[in-house]
Amino acid sequence: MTFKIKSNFSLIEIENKLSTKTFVCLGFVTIYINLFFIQALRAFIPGIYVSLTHVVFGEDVLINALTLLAFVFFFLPALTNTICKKLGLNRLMILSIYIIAIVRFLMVFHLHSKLETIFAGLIVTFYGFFMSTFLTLWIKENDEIDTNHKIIFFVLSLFIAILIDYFIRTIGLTLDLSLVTPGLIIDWTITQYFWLFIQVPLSVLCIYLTKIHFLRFSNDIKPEKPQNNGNYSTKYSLIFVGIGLFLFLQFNLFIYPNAIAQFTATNYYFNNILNIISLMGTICIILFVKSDFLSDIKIIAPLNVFLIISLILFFFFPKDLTYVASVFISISLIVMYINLYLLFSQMGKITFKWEKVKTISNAFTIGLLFMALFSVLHIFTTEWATIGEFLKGLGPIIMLLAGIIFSISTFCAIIFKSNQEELKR
Amino acid sequence: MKKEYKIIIVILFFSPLISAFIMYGISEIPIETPTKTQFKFMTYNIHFGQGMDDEINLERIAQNILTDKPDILGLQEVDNGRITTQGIDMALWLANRLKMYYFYFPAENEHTLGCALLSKYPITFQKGYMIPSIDLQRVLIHGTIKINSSLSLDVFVTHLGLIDRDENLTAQVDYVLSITNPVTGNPKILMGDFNLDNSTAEIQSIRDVFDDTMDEFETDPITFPSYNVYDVPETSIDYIFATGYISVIDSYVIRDFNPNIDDDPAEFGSDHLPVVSILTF
Repeated sequence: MTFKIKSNFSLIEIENKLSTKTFVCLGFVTIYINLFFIQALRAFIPGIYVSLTHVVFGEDVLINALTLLAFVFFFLPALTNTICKKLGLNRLMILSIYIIAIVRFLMVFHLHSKLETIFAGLIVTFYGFFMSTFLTLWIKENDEIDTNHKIIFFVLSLFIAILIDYFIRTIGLTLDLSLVTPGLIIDWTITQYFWLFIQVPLSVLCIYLTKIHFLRFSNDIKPEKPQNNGNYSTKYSLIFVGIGLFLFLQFNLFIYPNAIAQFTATNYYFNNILNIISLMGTICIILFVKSDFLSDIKIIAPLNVFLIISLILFFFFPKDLTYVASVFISISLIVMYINLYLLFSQMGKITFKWEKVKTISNAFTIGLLFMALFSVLHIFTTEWATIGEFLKGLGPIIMLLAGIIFSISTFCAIIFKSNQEELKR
Repeated sequence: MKKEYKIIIVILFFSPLISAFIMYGISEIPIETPTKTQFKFMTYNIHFGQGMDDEINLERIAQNILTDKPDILGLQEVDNGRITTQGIDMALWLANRLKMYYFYFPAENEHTLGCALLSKYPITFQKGYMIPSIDLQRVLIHGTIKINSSLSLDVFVTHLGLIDRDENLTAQVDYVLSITNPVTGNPKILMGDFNLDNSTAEIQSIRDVFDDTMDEFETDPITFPSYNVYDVPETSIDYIFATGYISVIDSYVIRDFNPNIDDDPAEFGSDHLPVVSILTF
């Protein structure tokens, strides 16, 4: 039984195959690029929302409408493959890291709210480029590391970035300290340009380490030609819609322990501790449990049933169940993280008839679009309910629907892989 | 990898959890029992912390509030855990920043704006009410603040709907009064953003029960917008009403938060200006 469950993933093995320096640098850069993406996404949506509100009320329409165009940044990762054909995978990956590090550095100066929105949007786009090119290059790299282990490494870096984000928000008492704007009285306290002192070394290190250690990825790896013998067309990218719904659920509610506390009439500090434990638990599960075991339908199905039941309890009986609902949702967070891990894992394994880089960038773009779609729908259930009155009060239903689609997406990705293995056999 | 590095990684891994426990430990506020009889009240619609420069900046809001250091503070348009305001729990953050007790009540489970009551003294009773709303759900909050063994205050904070969105403000005011009127025994304060100017019948019906603390000091003081960037009509819609007090020492609208800053929208943390009243009990 232990043999069946225990993962053969080993960070030490990866370290040995890559060399300690490369291993640490790869880890550092991926963790912080993921963190910058989380922070940029958190800053981007309020910026877009404010511009949209101004346009609706006819205030400074031109400048705000122009800022709204920044929404196009959500679509741009879809062009990764086209850009790769001109620039090459390696160059685009390195360029993306440089741009993310520089733009994130510029954001600390709080130049202008509109400019900040554009900067945040740029980071989201270039993160899309980075993720697709980095995963493609590393998966194709002949370094004797199992593909799934490379995916685990990337997912772990994403989860550690979320953990750091929790840390930053814990110290900031729910406020993301990295996005704090200076107050009226400039006194250089913790609430002023605090993040500048952290961002400078982070950006410099990201650029330096990339320059030294990311050149290891071969320049010879090019986007391969579409395979005519494949059976799966672009529409199959929809199986990765769960990535977007994960982002929607997290950024609209579940990444915020304060929101969980508000819904369930429980204590913020209690939920914060519980949610951090959930994330740490997930990291341990991914490190020590075999992905084949987790992707077994007999395991993942009951977990997702638990997730849906928890969401129902959370949205419809929060004030009756209080701490029970909050504990259930914290356990469900583990299921959400595992679902995301499985989606990434399948994304690394599944080969469509088109290029690998396109598989990943399409999945990410579709994810972002669904996140935006559901976020807009959710806003229509609250502030904008006057426009579509039938949506008023349906916020929990929309969130529940997102949770169900997220689960279905994970199942589809797992089943899809099984079909491919069937075909191979 | 060296053993020391591994230890550092494990410590870093556990640091978010350790910090979460530490923050839990330092969240307590010491209880003050003042002997003074004069208290400063403030009502402030904080516009989700978004200032006239479109920046979300809670520190600026805190500094705006600290210009006058109120004892009891009613806030409107306070957000918690929403994607559109970076997920911040604004009431919690401001209460910690200003070292005050707080009670926050949003439109339940709907992730919409809410009202908050902040106080330097413990809030011994708290309740939120859903005001009948056609448009966006509006709320009224009630907190009983225990100042000392001989003085407690019943404080109500609200934010009513917008008349140009076909909201029935008469019904909303009637509902607010139906909650405040039966509360007896302590002095009462009703404050907030009523979205109604002084000449309206609805405000008159509140004046029948409460005194407008601004009456002897200013007539129709402009509270919205704080800085007229978009050339919108200027109005007086934020009020502090009171009953059961001894006297009003002063009442005013804060128009200048920092004398060193001239004519800059960045000075204003919100699209409203705060109203302050100093009362004796």
